Amino acid sequence: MKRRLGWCVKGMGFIAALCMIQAPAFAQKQGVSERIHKLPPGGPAPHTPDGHPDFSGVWFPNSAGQALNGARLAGEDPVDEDARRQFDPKVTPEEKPSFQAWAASKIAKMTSTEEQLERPSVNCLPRGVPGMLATAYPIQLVSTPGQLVELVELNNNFRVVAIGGRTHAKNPDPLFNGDSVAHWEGDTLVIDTISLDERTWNDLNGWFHSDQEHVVERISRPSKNYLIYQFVIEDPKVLTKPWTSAPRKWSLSHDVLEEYYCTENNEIEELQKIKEQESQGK
Amino acid sequence: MKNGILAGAALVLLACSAALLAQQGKSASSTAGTAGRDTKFDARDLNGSWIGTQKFFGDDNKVPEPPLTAWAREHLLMESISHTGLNLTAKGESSTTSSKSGIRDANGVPANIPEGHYPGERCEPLGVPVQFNGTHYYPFQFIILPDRIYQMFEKQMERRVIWLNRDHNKDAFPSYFGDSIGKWDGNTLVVDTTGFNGRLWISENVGHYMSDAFHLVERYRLTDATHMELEMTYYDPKAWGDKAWTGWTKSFRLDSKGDSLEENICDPAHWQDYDNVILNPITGKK
Repeated sequence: MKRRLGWCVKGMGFIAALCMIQAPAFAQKQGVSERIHKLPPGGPAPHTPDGHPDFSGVWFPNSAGQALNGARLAGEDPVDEDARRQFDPKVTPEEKPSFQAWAASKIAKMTSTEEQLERPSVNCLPRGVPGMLATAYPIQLVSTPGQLVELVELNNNFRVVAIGGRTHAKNPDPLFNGDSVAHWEGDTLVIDTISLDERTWNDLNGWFHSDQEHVVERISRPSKNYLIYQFVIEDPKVLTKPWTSAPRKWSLSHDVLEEYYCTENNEIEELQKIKEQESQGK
Repeated sequence: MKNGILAGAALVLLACSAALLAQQGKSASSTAGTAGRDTKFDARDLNGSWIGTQKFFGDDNKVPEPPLTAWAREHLLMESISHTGLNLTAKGESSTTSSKSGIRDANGVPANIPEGHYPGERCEPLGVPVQFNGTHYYPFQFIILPDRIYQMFEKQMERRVIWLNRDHNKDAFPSYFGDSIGKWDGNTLVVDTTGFNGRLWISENVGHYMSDAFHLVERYRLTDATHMELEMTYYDPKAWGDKAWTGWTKSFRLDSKGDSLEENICDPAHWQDYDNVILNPITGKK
């Protein structure tokens, strides 16, 4: 069984040795010898007995159907550009979020160390919605009658979304996965989520949110080998206007998720020391 | 929970865990399990969310533990081990903290867990069989698929996969949940798990850890449409030689045919607060 290499300290390799996370993390194929191309469409998407698209499978956030970071770490890039990405920015450009001035200022003032310290996954916390899908880690979806189960390799997180049959709670508690309702619009599953815990981020770069954040995710499976995941974020306290992601591709893999626990986490302590040194000008 | 530290921890956790409080209410109010006694049912349809009808597992286990091996006495006892490189928080502290009660069972195992320690503290993984300590409050959900079964636990939102139609993966890397395979023995689902990493508790009332040879066999059986029984057998050749530890049954009722799990996240920051506000002042740590 191959082992996977943790990515818990993305962008901060100097502290990598301190990352004691008991994690296989996302897949690494060391010593890649052949070029990796994007997957073909693979034929029509399967459907569940009730006639809806079946999203079941392990999915990677690229177009290659496998983990790609190993190739990059090996100092070469045998991966086709269109296999590595989730969308072509020339075809479906993705705007940057339009932050209110105070929010933009807060993010801009964050040092790299402060950003790491605030990042949910560095604190062994779930990335929540939609952060759990702003990731390089694979996910597994399981379509069952009336629900979609999302399994995330990172931190072993999971989310069960009930489809139909319920409305938002009247006074929901803030949750990492929020309060979600879902319905089908044709072959697209639409998930509407409110009441998200403010400790989660929308990306890996400090995009925090308020208690008023509202996320609408749209998932479809245009062919066997691809999912399309697109989401809209409204946050009247942080953004000046709603933000819409590009339609992001996830590609089907025959891999399996591995166990990933965040334990014995020394990152916080070390980051605090670095922050202290930085504040003293060292 | 027999000392002030642990009681304090419990208070903190209770204060921090809205999910627990909500779950208690849910447990009391649910009516999902009332209709099942005389209903025809698919004996292999375990799908749904299940909640324990008994108290914590350890309270039910009146079956004596097999005698410990000499190796286990040296390596697995909570009060004497030094699990360097394993759990640097809970186990490291427990190696230097002995039970004050001095009460021991026939094996010489402390009857109490080391002071202030219990499974899952400081957000350590729980795994199985420890998860079944808490299913009275925290349900789990079965999702049955043709080639696998997912078992999702509300407590700390852990999950595992039980593979059907295959043997154990001999190359599996040791893990908290191990490598689980399942098969049907008549209408009983038999789940066989090996490949543990040996870092987990067996139960909150067992005064030693499992070894990496721990082997768990679970037998799930529907007794009617909305009730299920679970028999568990523990094997651990390093701890008990060829003796098995078994002889008790857990009972569950169906809480929902779908998902009734609530979000239960263990936040390490709460433990830092606990250390700063409660533990450190008591122990004199700074």
